[in-house]
Amino acid sequence: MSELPENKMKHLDEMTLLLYVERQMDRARGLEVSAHTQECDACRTLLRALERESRLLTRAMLEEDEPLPSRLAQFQERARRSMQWIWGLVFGLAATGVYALYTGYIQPWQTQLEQAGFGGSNLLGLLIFRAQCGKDGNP
Amino acid sequence: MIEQRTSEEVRKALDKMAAGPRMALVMRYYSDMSYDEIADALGVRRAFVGVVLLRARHELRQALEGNAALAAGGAS
Repeated sequence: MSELPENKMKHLDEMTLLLYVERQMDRARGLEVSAHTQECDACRTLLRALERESRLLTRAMLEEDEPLPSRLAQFQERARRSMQWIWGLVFGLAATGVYALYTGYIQPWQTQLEQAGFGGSNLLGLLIFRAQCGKDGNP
Repeated sequence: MIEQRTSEEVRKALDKMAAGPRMALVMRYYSDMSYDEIADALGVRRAFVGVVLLRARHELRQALEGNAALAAGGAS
């Protein structure tokens, strides 16, 4: 029974196999590694595992961009909830503004008109009366 | 080896890694940078890039084992 050469009996280390997987080895050394892994089950298993690990790493990193739609959906949901608060705030501010406008400007002006004898009905009557006078040609 | 892990598990483990090894893995397996480019970026000799990547892989495996242990502890 012939003995295997010494270089075929020694297992390759992980660093060597990684450089082979990554194609960072000169051609001659690459051929040696290739020949060894074809005959050595342990080294071939480690080589295949390193290859799968590389693929998984790449896939895991590339897939990082894929959950974007779900992230976008979460953002939209947060934005929608925020918008409810924003609309409520806008409505509240608008109501406060209208009330302030009424009490600050319109109501005093209306009071002054009423005190001057130009109440709501009087003012309307006056306007109708003056319009009728204008049609008749009388001042 | 991390070959039996899901992409999500790998990403969580990557997040737990130190910046240097994680950067090396990202440059190689995401940005597809050559060993020369990685050597320039990290400021190391080209011959050392393989060592950096191998150490980073080992660190990633340890992080994955740590995550798995945490998950098992949390489930029990």
